[in-house]
Amino acid sequence: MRQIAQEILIKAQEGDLESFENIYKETAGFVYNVAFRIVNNKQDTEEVVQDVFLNIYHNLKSFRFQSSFKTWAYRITVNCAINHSKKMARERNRVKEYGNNLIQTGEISESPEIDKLNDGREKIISSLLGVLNADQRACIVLRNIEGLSYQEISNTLKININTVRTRLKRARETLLNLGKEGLRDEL
Amino acid sequence: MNCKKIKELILTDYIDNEMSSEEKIRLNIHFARCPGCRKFFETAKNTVVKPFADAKRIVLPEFIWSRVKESIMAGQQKKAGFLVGVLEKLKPFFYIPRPALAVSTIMALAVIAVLTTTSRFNNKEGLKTDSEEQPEYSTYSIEAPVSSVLNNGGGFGTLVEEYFL
Repeated sequence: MRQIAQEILIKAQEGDLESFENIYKETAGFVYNVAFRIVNNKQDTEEVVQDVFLNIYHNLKSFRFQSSFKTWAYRITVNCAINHSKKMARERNRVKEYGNNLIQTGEISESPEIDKLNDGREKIISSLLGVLNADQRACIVLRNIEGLSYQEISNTLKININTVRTRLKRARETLLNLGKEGLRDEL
Repeated sequence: MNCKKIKELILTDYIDNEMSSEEKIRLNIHFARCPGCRKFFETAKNTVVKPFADAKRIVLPEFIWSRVKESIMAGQQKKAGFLVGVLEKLKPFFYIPRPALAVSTIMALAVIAVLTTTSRFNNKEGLKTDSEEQPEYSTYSIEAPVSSVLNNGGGFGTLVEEYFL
């Protein structure tokens, strides 16, 4: 994402839809990818991305240029995606469809877009992310896919840098255990 | 530093390149002596880092912007509609005249105002005249009684006067 000119942000803050469209064009790519990796489902991602941009549009006036716009947009994206994931997980638990077995959780089979890609790597990524909770997933996505530093993740999620470390460590321990169980070979 | 602590560092700062070069050297020295930790690092690298390194960038569907735009515009219309709705609900509590009725009412009021002012002005003049003449008339009545007027060689020179006087 290129740096967005301050004048475009100011115009958009004043309600100029054309300037907001420019912001959308610059940020939508990473917003979509981050949301997709955290939500792990295409249909839900589209919903989350819409929520993210409506949130950005309505809260743009409160953006004070103290942090970078990208960090601010990341924060809104990750928060929307985590909230959505937690909501979906609660719903799954309610209908008792969320088993302990990874295949039975539907994290793989409920992602038709991954099947469409027919890409083994994408299936592995989806299944690995599927076993993590939403907070851990967000940290893994920001670090391993988006390449953010611990400090940037801390700023984005507004959490202590040691919390970032702890979440990454626990997420990776879970993934290592999954590897030991040989689940990846089954895929 | 024991192996447990080393493994924790492998899963975080070491694998993510978040540690200083001095710390990294210390860990590398440990790996050279400890095959268990070295193996753990290799497994971790292959299991928790490599799979994500090849993650594809997903292409954004174009229709999302139209949906976002529609939602924004619908929100704006709803906001405007809400204000109109509030005004409509408040309308019965306030008398809001229509333009034609308002103009005719203002004209009628203006005509009434002009007429009232004019008649008042005229009456005022009349009253002023009467009140100014009244003392003069009184003075005249006191100072000149009818008899003196008649005896002063006055009179009106009529036949009636000549007959009676």
